[in-house]
Amino acid sequence: MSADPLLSVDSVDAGYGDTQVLCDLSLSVEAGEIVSLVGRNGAGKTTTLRTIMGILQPTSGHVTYDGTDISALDATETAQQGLALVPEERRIFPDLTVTENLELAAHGGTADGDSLSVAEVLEMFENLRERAGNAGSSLSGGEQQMLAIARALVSGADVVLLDEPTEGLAPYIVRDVMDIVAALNDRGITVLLVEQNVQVCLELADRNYLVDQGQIVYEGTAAELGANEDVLDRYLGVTV
Amino acid sequence: MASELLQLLVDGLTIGVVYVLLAAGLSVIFGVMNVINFAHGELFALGAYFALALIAPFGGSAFFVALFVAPLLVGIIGVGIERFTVRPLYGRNPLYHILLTFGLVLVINDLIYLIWEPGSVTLPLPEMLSGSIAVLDVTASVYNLFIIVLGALMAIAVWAMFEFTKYGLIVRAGAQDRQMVRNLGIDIDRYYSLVFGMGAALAAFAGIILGGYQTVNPTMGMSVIIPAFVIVVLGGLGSFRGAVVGGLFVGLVQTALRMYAPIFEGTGIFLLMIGVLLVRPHGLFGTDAAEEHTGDLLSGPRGGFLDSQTRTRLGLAMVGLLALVPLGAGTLYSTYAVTLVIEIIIWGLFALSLDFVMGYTGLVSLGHALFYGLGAYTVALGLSHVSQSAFVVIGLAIVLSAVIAWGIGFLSIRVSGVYFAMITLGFAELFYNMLGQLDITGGSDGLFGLSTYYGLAGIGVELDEIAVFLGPVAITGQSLFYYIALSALVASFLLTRRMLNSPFGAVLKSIRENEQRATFIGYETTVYKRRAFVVSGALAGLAGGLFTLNAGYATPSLVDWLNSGEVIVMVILGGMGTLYGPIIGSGIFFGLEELLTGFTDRWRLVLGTIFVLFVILLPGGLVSLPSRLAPALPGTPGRGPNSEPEPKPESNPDPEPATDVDDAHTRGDD
Repeated sequence: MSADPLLSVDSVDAGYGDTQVLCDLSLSVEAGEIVSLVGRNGAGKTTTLRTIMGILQPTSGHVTYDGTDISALDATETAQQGLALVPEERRIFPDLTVTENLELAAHGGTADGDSLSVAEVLEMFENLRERAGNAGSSLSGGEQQMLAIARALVSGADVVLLDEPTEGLAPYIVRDVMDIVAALNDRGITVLLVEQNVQVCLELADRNYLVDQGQIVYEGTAAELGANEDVLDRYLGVTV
Repeated sequence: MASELLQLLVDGLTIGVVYVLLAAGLSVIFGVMNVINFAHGELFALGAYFALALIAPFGGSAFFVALFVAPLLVGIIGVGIERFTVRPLYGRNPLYHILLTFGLVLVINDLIYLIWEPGSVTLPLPEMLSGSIAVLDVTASVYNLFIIVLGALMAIAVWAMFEFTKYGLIVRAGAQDRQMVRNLGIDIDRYYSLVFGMGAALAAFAGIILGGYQTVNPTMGMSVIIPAFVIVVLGGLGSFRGAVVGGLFVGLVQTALRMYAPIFEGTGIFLLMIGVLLVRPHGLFGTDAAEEHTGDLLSGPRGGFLDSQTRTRLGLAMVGLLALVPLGAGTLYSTYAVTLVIEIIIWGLFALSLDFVMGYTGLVSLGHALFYGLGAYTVALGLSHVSQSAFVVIGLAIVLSAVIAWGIGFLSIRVSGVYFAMITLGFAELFYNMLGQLDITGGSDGLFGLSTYYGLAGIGVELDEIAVFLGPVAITGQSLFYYIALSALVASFLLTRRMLNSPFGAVLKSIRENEQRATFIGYETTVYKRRAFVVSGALAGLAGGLFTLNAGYATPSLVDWLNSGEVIVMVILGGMGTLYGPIIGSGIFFGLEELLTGFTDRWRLVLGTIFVLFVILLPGGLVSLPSRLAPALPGTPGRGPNSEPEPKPESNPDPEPATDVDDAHTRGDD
């Protein structure tokens, strides 16, 4: 690993009101990597993404992106630096059409001449193309997830923070989503992936962090994590 | 027949178009920013007055110039209002915006009185708009047709802007999910000023065209704001389509009622709104997306640094002090002091009743004057028709208010948040208009010349007949009533406090903190909220009843929506969710009013400015002041050992809060 990762979280504390969730959490993501955060419900995975994104401000510690300290930036400013969050609930705008959802994203982030246009993205996502004029609320869960990822693409993000993209989806759609994530990565987009589905992480991610009680308790490649039954059992309660 | 219908269509659409323009801005401002803008009516009036000022030096032909310049100016004022007063409050409960814009209403309205003459003025129109044309056998004034066409074009232009421009796309998305727009890297806050400015400009535009149709007068804003709210709620908060359909519909219905069923002219639209909301709780085109969870109400004692024993002593001292007031009247100070403090006490009781439902269950009743007026009229009618006994009529007032509160609660508590506020406002306005129409309530004059005795079954005394001597001081008449009112207030306070310390009260508080969780535990929260509403209605009825017992009259103006607004102001001024705060709020309110009227005729300007500053700087109410100052005082402990326990940081083994509930929570922290 080089000395200068693209995105790094250093000794961050964060939480909601009086409830501290992240305790001295540190992680780093290299450019072009897919890195996963796994852990039980309530371990602090989503909070980590929210803190990176600036929806939540760290009470101590730093978030650095591309050499710049982005700890104090709010969500809008963070997005303008080139990070995009694909939230767990997807948060498609229900009354906007698929195309409008994408056009909106093209007005934000770091979208410019080099990033993908709405038309190009619709070309990539066949099922979205078919439903381009439909309202966001009429999409299925899988389609909404695709649209949420497509939105991040249109916004020109270099780093995509994906929060449980496969949650609640049928197994064959999980496969589609995984293919899309891999395709993003092939385009040079760095991915920080939060997942409860360990299989997805083991297959997609270059490196995995295990989060427990707001701290990183383990770091390893897919092969290392997959082989470490003790860790999997202790922190996730799963056997692979 | 056909010509009559055509006439109705022209007249109805003329008013309808004005409503559309007014409601569109109001609705979009709510949809995007979650702001209920009571000042919208004043911006409407301001548009007409600016046009008046612009036209005056040049004559009627300057009308067309004014039609565009005046809205532009008002639009700029709107941007300023958003920047400096509305913006600091984003992320708080919409209630604070009600208070803020209520203050702005006072400020702008008083400014209008200050700058322009108080009477009605005709807006000069250009000659080409003054004639009339005959189509078939209908004569329509050119101006009416001009309004309809221009208004329609304006509405289409606004619609197109929302539908086809980048600006419109961002605003629409913002109305659906603000935080996600931010996540996409779009600075939505920058667009808020524009939305507010545009809404203000549309209102001003509507004000000018209505000013040309009728007259320009300082109360024009007050008279359109309530119908405009009805339309917004009817159509669905945040829905542009709803504002258009609702505006035209209400314009036509109002005109038709005036022609065919004048008795329903005032009440018709409120019946319509209540009917629609009962069938479609979110209006015709509304979705529940507009009703996302926003910031919490800042209520409850935020750990004052007095322990409960000291507070009890302080309370007792206050009551003791109040009990002394009548003793010095007429000698140390004018007897007017007694009159003033009676008003403070009655309104304090009224504010306490509102606090019980607003501060403890989070239900914001915007029509609480209904119960106040109901109590007053029950006493008035009871005295004339049932019994002259004060105890009987007060009992009737309490019971009837409780029954009506149960009924209104049954119909309206299933909707929450802003819709609840609006439906209660609708009921109050309905009652207000009924009072003015019915013969039994004395029409718009009300009922007066009432007298009562204190006793039962014909045996008792009138207060003027007796005097209690305390040494050299004789207490009689009003001063005796003073003690009756004070006892009622103290008794109500103790009763409600007792209720809140019971398991029932614990459920109410849990509803305020998180209704969903209270439901999950197994409480049927609707039932509890309705009970709280009944208690609150009964106490408000008692307050109104006391008013009429003392004053000897009841008029429809007791139910004016401004009274509902003022009582909310008192509750927040003093501190919500404390029971004693609202009483202090009442004292401050009337004290300020008294003080200011002594110095200036423009006291509402000053009072409004104080509200605006207050809500921005001290939203927790006056009772939050000590705990705010406490950290700044060296050596002062944060709070006493026996004070209200504050929620401790959860020592939860699972540190990340359950996402489904708390996501909604943090999302609201916009």
